[in-house]
Amino acid sequence: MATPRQDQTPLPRDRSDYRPPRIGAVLLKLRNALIRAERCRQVLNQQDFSHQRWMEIVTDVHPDLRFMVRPQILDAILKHLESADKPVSRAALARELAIQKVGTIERIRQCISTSLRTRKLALFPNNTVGLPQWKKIEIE
Amino acid sequence: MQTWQARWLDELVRQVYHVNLSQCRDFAEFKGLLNFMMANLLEVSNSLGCELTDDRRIRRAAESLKVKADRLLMLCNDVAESFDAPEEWRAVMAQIVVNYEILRFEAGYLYQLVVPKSPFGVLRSAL
Repeated sequence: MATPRQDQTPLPRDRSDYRPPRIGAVLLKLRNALIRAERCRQVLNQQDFSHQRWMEIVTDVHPDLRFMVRPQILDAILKHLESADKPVSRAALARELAIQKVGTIERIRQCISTSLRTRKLALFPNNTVGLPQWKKIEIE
Repeated sequence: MQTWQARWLDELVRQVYHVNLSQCRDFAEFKGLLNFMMANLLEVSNSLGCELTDDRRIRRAAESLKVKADRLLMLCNDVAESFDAPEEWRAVMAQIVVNYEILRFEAGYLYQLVVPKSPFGVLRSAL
């Protein structure tokens, strides 16, 4: 049976003085925790902690929290761009990574768009994408 | 280190109420929550009243969010002042909920532009 969505929970019965919560402070703590978890993952990755060992951690983590530690599609995108050493067509990049089973083609395309928006990737002429630091070199 | 713009938005995140109009069961609840939503819209509009940055993308996103907040605030004002058909409140609520969802989405987008390292659009979740 499907569980009801949390945000569909009705308001408390005594609604006369109901005041919606301010949850911003908690959300900022969650944001910081996610950033810290991601930094730890990257440091372990840089220190040759194998993908297999990382996946052991991922499967140990409670399913509700697993999203915090699962490998990111962006990792594979960055790795691919670093090895290509030049901007790559968006379509070709998505196709190539989908073949490598990094994720579905829709998820990869979505990740490319989000990363361009948040400037983790940079857009180059002819609808190609590359690393943001390449843009700086191009300007210089 | 965080920019002053990021700290500014974080302060907004702390100030706003987490409003979910679709939880409302009757007209009284709807009108009660509407006041908190209007407080949120006012807070968003006032926070974005000044020049946030020279960055064109951020400026455009902030302007668009401010326009949406002001428009929705006007709609909510009309509802709060002159709405006298409590039997039709669900239709009005649906219209406001849709507009508020769009505003929340844009708020999350602006947040991620200003705080690119943020793993999610914190302002969207807070609203």
